[in-house]
Amino acid sequence: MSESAPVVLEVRDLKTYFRTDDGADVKAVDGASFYVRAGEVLGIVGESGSGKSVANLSVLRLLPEPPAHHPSGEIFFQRNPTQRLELLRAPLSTVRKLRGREMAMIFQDPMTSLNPFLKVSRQLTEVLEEHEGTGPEESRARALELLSAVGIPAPERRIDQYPHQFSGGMRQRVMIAMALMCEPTLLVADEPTTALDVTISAQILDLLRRIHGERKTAIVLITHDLGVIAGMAHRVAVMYAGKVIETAPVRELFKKPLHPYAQGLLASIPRLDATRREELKPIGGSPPDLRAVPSGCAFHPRCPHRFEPCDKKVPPLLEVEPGHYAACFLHPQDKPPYRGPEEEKK
Amino acid sequence: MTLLAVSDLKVHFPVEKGFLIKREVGRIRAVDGVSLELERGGVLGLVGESGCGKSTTARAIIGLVPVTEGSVKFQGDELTGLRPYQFRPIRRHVQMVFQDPYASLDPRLTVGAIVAEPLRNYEFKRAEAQKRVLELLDLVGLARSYAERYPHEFSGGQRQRIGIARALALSPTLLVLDEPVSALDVSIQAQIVNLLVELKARLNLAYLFIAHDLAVVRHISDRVAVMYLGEIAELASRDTLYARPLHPYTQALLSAVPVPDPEVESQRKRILLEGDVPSPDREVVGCKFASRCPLRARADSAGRCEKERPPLRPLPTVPGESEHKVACHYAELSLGETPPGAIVPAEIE
Amino acid sequence: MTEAVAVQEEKKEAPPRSLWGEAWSRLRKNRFAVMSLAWLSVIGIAAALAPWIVPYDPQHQEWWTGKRPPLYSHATLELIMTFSEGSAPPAPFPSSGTHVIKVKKEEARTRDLRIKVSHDGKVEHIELGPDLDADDPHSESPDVLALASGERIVAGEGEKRVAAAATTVEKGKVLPEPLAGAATGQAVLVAQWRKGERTREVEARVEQGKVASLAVDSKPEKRVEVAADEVLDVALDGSPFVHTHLLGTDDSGRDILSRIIFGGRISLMVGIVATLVSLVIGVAYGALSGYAGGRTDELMMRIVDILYAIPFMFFVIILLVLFGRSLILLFAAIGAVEWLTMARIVRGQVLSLKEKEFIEAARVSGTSTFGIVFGHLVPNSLGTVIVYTTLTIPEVILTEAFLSFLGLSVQYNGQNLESWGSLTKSGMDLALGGFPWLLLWSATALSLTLFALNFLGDGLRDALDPRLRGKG
Repeated sequence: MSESAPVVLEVRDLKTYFRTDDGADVKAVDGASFYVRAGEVLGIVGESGSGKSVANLSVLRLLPEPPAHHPSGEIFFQRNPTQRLELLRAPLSTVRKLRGREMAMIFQDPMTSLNPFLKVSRQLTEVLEEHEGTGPEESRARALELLSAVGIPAPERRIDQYPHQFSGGMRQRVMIAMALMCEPTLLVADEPTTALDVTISAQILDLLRRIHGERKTAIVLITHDLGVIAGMAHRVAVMYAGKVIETAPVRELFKKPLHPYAQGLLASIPRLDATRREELKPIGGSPPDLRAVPSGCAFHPRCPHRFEPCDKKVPPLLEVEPGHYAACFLHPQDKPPYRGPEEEKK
Repeated sequence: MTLLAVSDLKVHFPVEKGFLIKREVGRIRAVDGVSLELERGGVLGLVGESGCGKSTTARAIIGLVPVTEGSVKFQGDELTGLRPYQFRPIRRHVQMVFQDPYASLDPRLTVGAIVAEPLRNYEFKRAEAQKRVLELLDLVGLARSYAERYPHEFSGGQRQRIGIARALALSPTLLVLDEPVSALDVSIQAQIVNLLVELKARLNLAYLFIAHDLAVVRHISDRVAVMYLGEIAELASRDTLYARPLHPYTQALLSAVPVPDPEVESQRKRILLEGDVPSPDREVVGCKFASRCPLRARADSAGRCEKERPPLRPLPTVPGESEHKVACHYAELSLGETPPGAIVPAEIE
Repeated sequence: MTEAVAVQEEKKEAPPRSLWGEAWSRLRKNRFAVMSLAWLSVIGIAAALAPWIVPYDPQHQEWWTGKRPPLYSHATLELIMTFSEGSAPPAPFPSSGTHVIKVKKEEARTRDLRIKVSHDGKVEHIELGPDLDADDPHSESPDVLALASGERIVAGEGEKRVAAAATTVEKGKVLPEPLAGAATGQAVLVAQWRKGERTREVEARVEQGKVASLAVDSKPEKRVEVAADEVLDVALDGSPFVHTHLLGTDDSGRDILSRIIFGGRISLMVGIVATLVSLVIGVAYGALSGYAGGRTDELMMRIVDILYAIPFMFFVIILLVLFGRSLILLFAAIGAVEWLTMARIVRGQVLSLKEKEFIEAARVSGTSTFGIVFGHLVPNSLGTVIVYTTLTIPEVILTEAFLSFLGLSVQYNGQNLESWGSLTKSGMDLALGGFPWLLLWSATALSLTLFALNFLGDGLRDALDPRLRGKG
């Protein structure tokens, strides 16, 4: 993937708030910006409550509104070389047409997105038949082709079974096949391997990697597992308390994390390839309660380096090193701010 | 000195059918012949994927599920077949920390009451128990004022500390830790792992540490046992197991764990196992891993894998290794060659 | 101390909040639930304190004020009231003024009894009015008056003449001797009136020596006795009297408000006690069955299934018919059936709870089975139990109402204990005859309470919703 590949999805300053019964807002996503180019895998990493899933549900407009609402933000989706759509303000019917065809999603628990009462064949072909008007024979053939592509043995027999007859790993494969039915330009994978065992998860990641290699689909991969990110993503966005606090190409980020949170995350996980048993360096405290996010930099109560401005001002996301953005006052504040993909092209 | 000795432990759950009068139509062999030993002050890691029987093994040891067959000896005393009141004195010495800190604390009780529950059961005086609760909160790094609060006011990491405090209340010698960090956020896991390491050193505890995260197990254990479908596939000291895995399943498992380093990841070759873990309700004569084993195709021309169950047998150790047991007929084939799943350890600064 | 142990952020010093506390604060935000709770408190307190707060004895019948509309007022009278001039009138005639008691006296003829009470609170004057039922109001003014010998005629100023012999005074005729002396002006004859035994004053107007008119006036009586069953209506100083029947009276003149409060006592008592019976049996049975599991559970639940199959209403009706309609039996009968659902619910709760790790943790901590069931399982299923209880009470109340409707209202010492159900039933019969309030109030009280309990149950379920629980 090159730096000049077209941007498939660009999210600018997205805010997703949930109105609670008290009338207060839970700021699940609070000004997040990221983008993904054609043929690229963007990893979004963060802990529970970081807003990584919600941001992507907003992209697909899958959140019920209300209680969800978007005080700001733009989401641009490049349908084809000529047509660029803004999704956040577009009519829901437009977005609905895109879902499943041009933007597909894979969830953590495949059981929630497969209808337990319908045969797999029906669920696979439905999108094609409805959206593309493909005939039943043809779409069944495509479904069979994809089932074997995602590594389901004996697809001719399995296609007429129900979801519960598949194991967790196999269900996730069915989900992936379903997501690929219409050859989407964008695939959002939300913790696709979290519910799976190590060996199964390796199979699924391998499958995703293979599919990406063959089809060059742009993938947004959401996970809390830095290992998965390291093995899959080209670029990474680290989210904390609803904001992207660091984004960089994957090697840059793992080699030289700039934000204390990213540094802390990397230092706190035990590694399989560590030589000695050394003490882990945990990040103190707990992830913030979204109903009471700390002032200034949301990470400051847990940050070992916090100083004067941290609890007062929100640090902007700046290009601290070429292509490597971080939102932290530890770094020189005269660097250019994050301006989205266009700026990066030069 | 051996603290815990488990030999040929079997836990089968009958599958029953019928109205009032049940008849067994099958059995789920959750644990199917597990033997392991744990020294005083030692840490034995028990790893495996879901359904491999690691949690059931732990629960059988601590008397939460009935043992079908085999023996569990704690400090030389047989624990299987004990009646509840006979088990009570043992419970003082063997305690457990649970996986889900959201489910393992009674939401209706205050933290103080939760931590004091074991104390009350063993006839501590009220004042004495209260004092001990505060000591325990100190020990696990929680403010004393938290004793008045309720579990739902705490984050996952703090709750897990409460769970640990409860387990330590009776000053046990053995802690069974059932996936104590896997439900926690990444940034919190390290806090709990460090706390466990420190408590072990300070209180001379022995841990039976159950997890599916091989990196965490590696970090905390002295010895590691890998389980597959109710059996131990490989058991060795930590360094031996991670550096020189001999069972093809261990090799595949290790190769499947992603490493948080793009450089390493791009270099790695993986052994991808085919298919899923078979259901544990079928009686298997031979090796349970045979259906997915990548080594079998290469080694087993005699068809031995399907006919004969491989015993967990000690293999010759290389200098510096203490013990190395593998349940594979062809484990010797892996000796001497670098297994495809092994990770070339990278020096971390 | 290493970082791991030192890690500990200061928790904002809010007071600890139990799940109950949180549920309560959520409930308080639910307007309907709060209104229901308020209504139930009012009804509950009223029912509990009924004997002390009801305005009237609900059993006290006053047939003469039957079927009166709401806000109707009349005097409540002692069985026998004695009015004597010069002494204080009996309650409830405290105020000065002229009070009229409509009475039926003397061969059941309606008359006005006029009592004048002076400012110092003494009866000043008692006057019995003319017969109001008579066809001609002047019929008591005879045309012929027979005077017995020795009767006096008082004429003019202090003049007394006595009839020497029996004589007759006739209208239009000259006044006979020796009365003729009072030829003009008014003469007052004191005579005995044929009709009664009473002495009346007869006023004879004499014009030009002739008797112009004869009128029997009430003799001012010094003392009169009125029995309660003689009283038709009372007005104090011309306006309706003191005790107001806020919700009117029933066909026997019993105060409806009082009856509704007492009826609520029975209805709520049946609802609460029978539910409590079902609660105790159901919770204990369900919890033990669920915790024991396996064969015991299966057996216990099959028993429940079998009992479920018995037609509930028949069962209760047969019990009431066979063993008498006692309150205790009703509690037992309804409670004995309602516990089945409770047992199932608690069992389900316990089955899912006992898989929770905190139960295993309790076992590992050495807690006994009893301690686990009643220290962990039951308290944690209490939320659901409370919701279900709140929804069972109206069901039971309705069941009792239905039984009353069938005429199987409970009895105590051979007397019907009125509940909202029986009040509604008795009201039903008359409501269509132009007395809608007889039905309206009891039906309203019943439905409002049922509504309130259901709203409260819903509110509680929302407040105790496990989905909101846990994630601090």
